[in-house]
Amino acid sequence: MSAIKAENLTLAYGKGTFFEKTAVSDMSFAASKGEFVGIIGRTGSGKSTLVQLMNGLIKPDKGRVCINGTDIWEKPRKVNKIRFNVGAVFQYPEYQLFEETVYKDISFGPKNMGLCGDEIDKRVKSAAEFVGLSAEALDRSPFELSGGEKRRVAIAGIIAMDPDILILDEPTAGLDPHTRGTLLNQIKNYHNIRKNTVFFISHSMEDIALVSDKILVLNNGKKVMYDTVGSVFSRGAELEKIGLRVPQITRIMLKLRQKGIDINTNVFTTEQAFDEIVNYIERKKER
Amino acid sequence: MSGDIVFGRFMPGNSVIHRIDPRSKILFLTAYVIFAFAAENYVSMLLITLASIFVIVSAKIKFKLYLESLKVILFVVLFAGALNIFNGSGHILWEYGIIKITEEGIKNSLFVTLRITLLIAVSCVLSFTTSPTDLTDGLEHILKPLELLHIRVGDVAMMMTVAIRFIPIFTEETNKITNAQKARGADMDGGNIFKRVKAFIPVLIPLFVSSFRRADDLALAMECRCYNGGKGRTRMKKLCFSRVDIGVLLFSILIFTGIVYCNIYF
Repeated sequence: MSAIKAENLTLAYGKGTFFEKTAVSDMSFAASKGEFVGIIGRTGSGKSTLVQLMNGLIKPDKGRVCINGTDIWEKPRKVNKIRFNVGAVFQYPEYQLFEETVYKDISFGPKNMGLCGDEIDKRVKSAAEFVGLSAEALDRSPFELSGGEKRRVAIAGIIAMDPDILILDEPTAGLDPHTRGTLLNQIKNYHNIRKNTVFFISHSMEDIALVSDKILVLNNGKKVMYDTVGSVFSRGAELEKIGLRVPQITRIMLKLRQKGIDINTNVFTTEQAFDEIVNYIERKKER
Repeated sequence: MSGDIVFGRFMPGNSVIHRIDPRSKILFLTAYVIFAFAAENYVSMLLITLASIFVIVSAKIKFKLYLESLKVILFVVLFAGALNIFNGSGHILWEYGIIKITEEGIKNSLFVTLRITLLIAVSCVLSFTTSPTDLTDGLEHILKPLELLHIRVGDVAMMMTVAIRFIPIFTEETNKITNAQKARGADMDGGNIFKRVKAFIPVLIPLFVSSFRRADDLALAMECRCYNGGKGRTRMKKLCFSRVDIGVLLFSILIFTGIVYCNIYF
């Protein structure tokens, strides 16, 4: 059974007014436990709305979201419990911090779940470790931290709830390249250990290629593709049409191939490309 | 999402009312408040009601929006109305201890409710049909004489513009933060009043912090564009009176004489 399944999701904003706009239309997809799904799409393609639909912050006009086979809106009064199962980190989450200390802020989620003190303590510490926050940082005020650290605190706040499904909406936007790389590794590492389902939204095709198993491509509120990284990025022309691209390194490989160099272009990260090129050179030497 | 609040929102359009100079609209609204309170019998009240309906209809804004705006302050209207039932002397209809309902009380209550409702509806016409910039521009012009008292009208108007501009931003920000906290399991809807107030803290603090940040950013951006107070600023779009504004003046005189006439002869 799939961990999360969306069936014919449809939602329009500002119904019946001059400003009516369909944000998500007739979208269906499913992800099983342990999958890492990248979501890509142009600005305004419905990514953020989709996140809010997935954890029950907005009710779809049509269709439904099922977690482990049950519709999340089956009991509308209980929908807030769903959010312990589907943890969502929104864009620029650093602006949601409010507690006196980082420790207290991370424990906000677990506290709302009604966990006991020891369990909260354990979760806060392990979440902080996952995102690389030092023990010393836990006692500081979240408002004293740098932008990148705040971001980590916000992500730790969701990880501490230990959700089966984790949604990250542009977690690396606006960070410096170094912080970006580390954070990405930490997220991937967390996923490898925890083996939960992760949805990762990003505008960086390189980031997506690096961490995802599958990619969901959105355009104008509709699902355009939903397939493995390899198959999605092999349809470069189609991606280009909806304002997206294949990763930079893939473009380089394609160019090399055009120049008559016999290499595999099914390559999406720099590591893969490196291996492929080394492989090519060795093959050439043998000849 | 920011579409939740209808009250006080500008609805672009091209009706006659949209084309009236903001100064005329503000002055008319002020005069209208006086008219509404000057009307003291059923006939003059009917007159002012008809005048209001005329204004509302010519603004060509969906009627539903007025209802939604009224909903916001429905409680105030009903409260004022209910209180006035017991206020009045004359023929007693019903009595219980010191509480008595009189004919005059019912009339008072009816009038108060109607007055507030009409005032809100007509104020809505002003805010629906006038862009915030026009509104503050108009106010700035009207308050210009206060500069003789060394009040810096230009600065006050700028503050108002900024404040109005920030309403949708903060509405959106509140929604965003509320969503983020809900995603962490915050229960915003349930529980008693104390629980609800407490549940609001995680939203309030980030909002507070971000409002300072935004104010700072804006101040910096304004300084970068060489803003240094309202004195001597010229504007790109100058307000000017046109024929519709004469119409507004005539309309006001008509209502005024009508109300005075009705008050005296009926």
